[in-house]
Amino acid sequence: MNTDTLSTSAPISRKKSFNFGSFTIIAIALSLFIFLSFASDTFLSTRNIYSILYGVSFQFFAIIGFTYLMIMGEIDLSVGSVYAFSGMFMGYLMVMMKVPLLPAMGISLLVCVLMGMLTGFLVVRFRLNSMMVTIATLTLIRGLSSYFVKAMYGATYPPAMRHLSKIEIGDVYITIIAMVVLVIVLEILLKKSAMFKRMYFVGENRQTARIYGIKSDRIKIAMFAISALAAAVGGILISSRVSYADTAIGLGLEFQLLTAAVLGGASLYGGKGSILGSCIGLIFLATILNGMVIFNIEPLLQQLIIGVILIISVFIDTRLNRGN
Amino acid sequence: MVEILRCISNNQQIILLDEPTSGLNNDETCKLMQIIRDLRDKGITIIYISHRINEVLEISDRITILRDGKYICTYLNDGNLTEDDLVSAMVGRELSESLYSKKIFIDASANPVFYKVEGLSKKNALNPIGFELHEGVITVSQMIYGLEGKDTGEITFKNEKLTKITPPELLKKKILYLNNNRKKAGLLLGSGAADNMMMPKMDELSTLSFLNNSAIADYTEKYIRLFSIVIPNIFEKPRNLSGGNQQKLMISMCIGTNPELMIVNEPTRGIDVGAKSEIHKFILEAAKQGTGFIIFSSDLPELMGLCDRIYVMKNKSIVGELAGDQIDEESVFALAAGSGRC
Repeated sequence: MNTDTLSTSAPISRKKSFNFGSFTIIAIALSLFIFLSFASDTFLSTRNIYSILYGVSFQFFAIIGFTYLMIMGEIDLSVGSVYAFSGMFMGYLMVMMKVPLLPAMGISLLVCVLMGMLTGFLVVRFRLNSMMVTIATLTLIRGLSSYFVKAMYGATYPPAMRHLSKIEIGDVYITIIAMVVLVIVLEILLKKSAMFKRMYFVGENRQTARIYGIKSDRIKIAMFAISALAAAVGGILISSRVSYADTAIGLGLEFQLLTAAVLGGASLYGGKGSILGSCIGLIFLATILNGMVIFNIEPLLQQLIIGVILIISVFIDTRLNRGN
Repeated sequence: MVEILRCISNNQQIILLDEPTSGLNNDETCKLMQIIRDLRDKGITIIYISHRINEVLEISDRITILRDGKYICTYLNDGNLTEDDLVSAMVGRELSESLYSKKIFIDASANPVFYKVEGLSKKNALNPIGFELHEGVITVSQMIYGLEGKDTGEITFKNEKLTKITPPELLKKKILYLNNNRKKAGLLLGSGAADNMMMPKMDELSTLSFLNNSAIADYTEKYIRLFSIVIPNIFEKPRNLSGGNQQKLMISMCIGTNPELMIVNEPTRGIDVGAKSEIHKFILEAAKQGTGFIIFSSDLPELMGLCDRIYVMKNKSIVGELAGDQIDEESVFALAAGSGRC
């Protein structure tokens, strides 16, 4: 190498090379959208699109922390259970203990955050595998929730709680507005903020991040707490919509989120992912299920389809990201 | 070593060894050299690829030099060939000075102590050791950077006892660590050069946690130029760079923070001689600007060229200290006894 000729004063390019990877999911979702619009009369109605978005807006809360943890190379499979638990616990407090709306909500969210912190602490302090720890907490929290289901059998939640998911701002449900605002804000933060950038560094190489002074353990515990909090908010809203303690709430949600996040560019190996991508992944899955309903495809096949999509996306993720 | 032996024991006719000694110590290298000579005498062809010029010179009959992916020339090793011939062919120009020009020794033992390690130990890994670094002078790397736990020991920096030895605390005091294995840790191979550069000084390069992208770009560009890193754009991933450029990028990440002290572990591992001599220049330059250096290396000529004082370690303990004129290969090997030159 000749150093004399290399140190020229020619400007060094500052253009980022175009990355197709992040646009694949948008392209696939868009083509599915166009296909369904032509293939069916009912798909492209405002009401149908609106109901897809409304459905997604609940799950969206749960995928926020989930995506952050995937970026950091961890996974939180307990989100589905927390999603179910938070609403049922809040409902239980209101129905059985006659606690007013806001305190009940506060207590429920607080308990969920503490559970998230505990999970994070276990993962960080004892270097436990987050997948195994959160499978354990998934089972544990699900067990707690089934107690509430039994205790509140036949009861519906009070009107104040049922009203939460129906709040509208200018004819649009508040959950949809929250989703749009959060996607924009969180996406900007993820790209521009030093705080969030550190998550990518930790996810790509924890040791390297550590050498350069990034407190990865602290960030991880915080993100497990945020994951639980966000899932709990989504869970309270979905319980408000369902209006009674239903065992089906959040069942298998973790796998749906995983599929959506991987489709949206997150990697099981960490260091990649975005809130926007995950959100589009969720919309994509919801659109497929919606299309299946329109074409009268056996609902039991839905699980199968999600399974197949998950395998394909994990396959692509591994091909693209392993060995890095 | 086992891998090399396994490959050799298979009775092959041609053996291709790619940087076989990069993971070996001096003793093992000697043994390997002997084995290779025996095999050659038995009529087995060996293709030996290495950056270590003295090894190549020692055991090869013919030496072919490649540079930037191109064939340069082939020498017949008839005994008249010198290291300088090979180096200049590799670098592509005559070296005006010897690659390892001896550093001018600065005797600073009278100066105040700048950094001091006392009684550092870890069970089964390190017997208590201690050393001092005086102001104006340059001097168990992961342990003193807090990446590995220690059992006992105290570290004093600028007359202040360091109570919390963790990377974030040390960074605040402008003590940085350069890891020996950039692929394992030290460099994010899959993130852009600019992301890597800003990592140790993110707080400085952002306002209210929002990254100042143009400042980051300027900062990155400055160091790319300063260290003449060959890179197409500032967002290029280090994975696509050569080893030498990766190493230079990693060093600029550290030097960019204007460190007071750098703990450097194998600064020139697995890179070509051109980049190696450049890195040596950067280290000496930074030292002149006032940065203290503690260098850990298994490359003796490198240590001789860079250090004012050398501590020799053997069997988990420091066995000797050499300073200034005392530093020569024989003395170091004598201290590390049993591993003489082959």
